[in-house]
Amino acid sequence: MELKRQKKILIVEDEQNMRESLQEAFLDGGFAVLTEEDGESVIDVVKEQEPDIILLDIILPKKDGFEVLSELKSDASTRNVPVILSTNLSDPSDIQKALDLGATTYLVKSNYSLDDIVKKVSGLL
Amino acid sequence: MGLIKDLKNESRDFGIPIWKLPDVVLISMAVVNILVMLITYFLATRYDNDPGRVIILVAIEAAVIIIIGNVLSESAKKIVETHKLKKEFIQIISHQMRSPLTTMKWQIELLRKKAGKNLNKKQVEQIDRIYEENERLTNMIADILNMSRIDKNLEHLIYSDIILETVVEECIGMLSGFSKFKKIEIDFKSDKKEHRVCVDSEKMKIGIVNVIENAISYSKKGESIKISIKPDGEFIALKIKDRGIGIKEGEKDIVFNKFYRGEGGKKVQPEGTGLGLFMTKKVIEQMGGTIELKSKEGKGSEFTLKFLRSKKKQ
Repeated sequence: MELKRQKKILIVEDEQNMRESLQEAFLDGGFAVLTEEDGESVIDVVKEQEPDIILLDIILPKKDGFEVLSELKSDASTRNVPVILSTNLSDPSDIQKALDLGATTYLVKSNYSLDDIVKKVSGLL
Repeated sequence: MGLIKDLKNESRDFGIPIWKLPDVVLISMAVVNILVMLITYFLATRYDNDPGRVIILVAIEAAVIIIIGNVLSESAKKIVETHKLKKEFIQIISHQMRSPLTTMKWQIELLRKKAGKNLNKKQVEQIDRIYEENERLTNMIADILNMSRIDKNLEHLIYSDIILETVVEECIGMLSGFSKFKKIEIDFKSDKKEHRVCVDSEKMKIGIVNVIENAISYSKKGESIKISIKPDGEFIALKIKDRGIGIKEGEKDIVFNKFYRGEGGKKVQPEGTGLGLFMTKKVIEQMGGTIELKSKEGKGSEFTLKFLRSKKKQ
């Protein structure tokens, strides 16, 4: 039987503790995990490493999540990679903006357990 | 036109009427000033021929109006400042306070999962308690944020046609940790697979979660909660029935008031914010729906939430 290819996720999160929690949860969930702590080189990493899905924080140093998202969506080689915007803002106008920019979905971090996040991401792949 | 649009945005951002914005106050006072000066000049020249007196009269009036105008615009500025502060404060709570709580929640989850096998029952229980308390604090912050948003305006409602059953399932899922913890069985029935309603689903979830959460909080361990959905005229009615502590006769209307907490509820859950039902009623009514309560002290409560049916064919 052919082995299912391991899925690769890119986690963009500036807060170290949060990033490492997410990383651990996804590694446990059987994912290959890439991480970035700011928005600056996300597009290059996506082009080089071709992740299957991106979990992108909105508030980031250097380049925020919205900027990164529009960059990804305006480049033909990265346009089709699903992006989940993660935030703790939960302001409806931010959520609307994220979806308008082409995010697949969004999640308010404080509403989710790690288990639920891994489940949600797996469900999209 | 650009100016009017800016003022409209400013008024919406701060949640205060356009005519109370400092710029608008200043401009209207200037207009009033010119009008009063013209009228005084007109009347004075008609009834009094001494130009010296006319000039003094007009000047005094102008001065008085300018002083009043300044006082008014100063207080308008203060109102705007206060609203700005409030907005910033909410942003800070929202982001800065939620992030560490979220990290704590996740770390506890990992600890529970990985170290759980090596810990004794008491220690596991202690971890669970930390988790519960963290959740409570997180929910309280969410409550405060939601309230400030709901209080502010109705404009941010994003309507869509959704299946009520799916949302209810989701809400039950969100509370599954809590219901498991209290060993409460949630029995959810619908007479048909799908009922479509036209609502702002995120806001609706706030309401439904609140009512179910209350039902769980105020039920004894091991009890069950019945949830059912059925059509009712132009509405779809969602019934949430518990066999918990119930609400006193005299408290049935005021439980929906801001910061009000029922006498019985305070005994079971001393730390609630008293915002849950207030917000629930407010969001449901904003969406054209209603919320009704039947309850008997000691026997339980039944909340009926009615949402407008979707106009599309069902």
